[in-house]
Amino acid sequence: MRWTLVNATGFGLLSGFVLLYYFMIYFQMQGLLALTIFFAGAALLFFGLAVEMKRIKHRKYSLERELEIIAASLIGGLITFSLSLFNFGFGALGPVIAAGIVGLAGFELLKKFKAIELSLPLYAGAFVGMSSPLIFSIHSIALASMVTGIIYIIAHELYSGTGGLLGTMAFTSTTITRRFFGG
Amino acid sequence: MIELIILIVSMVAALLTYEIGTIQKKGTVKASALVSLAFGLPVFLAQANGFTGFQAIPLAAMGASFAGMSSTSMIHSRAGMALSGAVFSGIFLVSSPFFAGNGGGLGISACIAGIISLGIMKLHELLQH
Repeated sequence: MRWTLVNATGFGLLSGFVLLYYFMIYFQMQGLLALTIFFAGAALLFFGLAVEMKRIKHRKYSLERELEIIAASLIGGLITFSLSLFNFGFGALGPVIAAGIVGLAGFELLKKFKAIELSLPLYAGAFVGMSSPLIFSIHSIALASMVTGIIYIIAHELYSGTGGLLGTMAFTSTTITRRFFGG
Repeated sequence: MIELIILIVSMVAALLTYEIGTIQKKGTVKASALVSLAFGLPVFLAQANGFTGFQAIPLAAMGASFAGMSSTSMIHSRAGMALSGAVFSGIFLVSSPFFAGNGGGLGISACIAGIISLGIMKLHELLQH
């Protein structure tokens, strides 16, 4: 297992946000049974994170591919955000359908151009684009999408094969953007 | 009642995504997007026709589909994926409103569900040996 400063930073960042999100649930818990389940879940989460530390996957990207990753994430975020607000005359399309369309169309398009690997950062960007327009402007979505691309490059060797990893990257970047740039 | 519907929807969405994307190897992004649209479009059309109150279903389905994007090295079996979907539904139902509006909330809930499920399965393996 090879750990670098970049890997350790990425793991610390993502795991920190995973733990923050989980422990915020504590304030929603009421009653002894709910709290018992919560703390059992917390113990399993720490145990699972310890297992994740051993599942590092070695993969290097070229500078050109890294720029493509950031671009894919940016495109995914901007299209999803715009599409979710699009009104067909009977209401806005909404974030779920918009992200679904971007994911599916992006996957098929990138498959044709033999760049299917980019569908992952594109989909991660789409999750950023699912943010509420009441909180985020198109500029902050663009910024958060690019930050997601950077986090993808930093952390792509970690949490190998874990479902929700792309969303975790999107959540981390939207939270950072909202905190420092006000959404 | 809504809790039961969310639980069933989450388990079905996670299993469908896992089956299409990971087992059948059609691509995890495509599988998740398809499942999200399969649950999202009917609810969108229902809402357009005046039927409201189903907004949580496509969100739960999409979030669970992220959990279903796990690889076989992470979740070895369909039973494990069903467990991951069930754990996701629990997190989805009690998630904090503090982060409402932030993109990726469903994804991080799915990630937590996946890690907890991984912890349960590893603990089960350790107890068996």
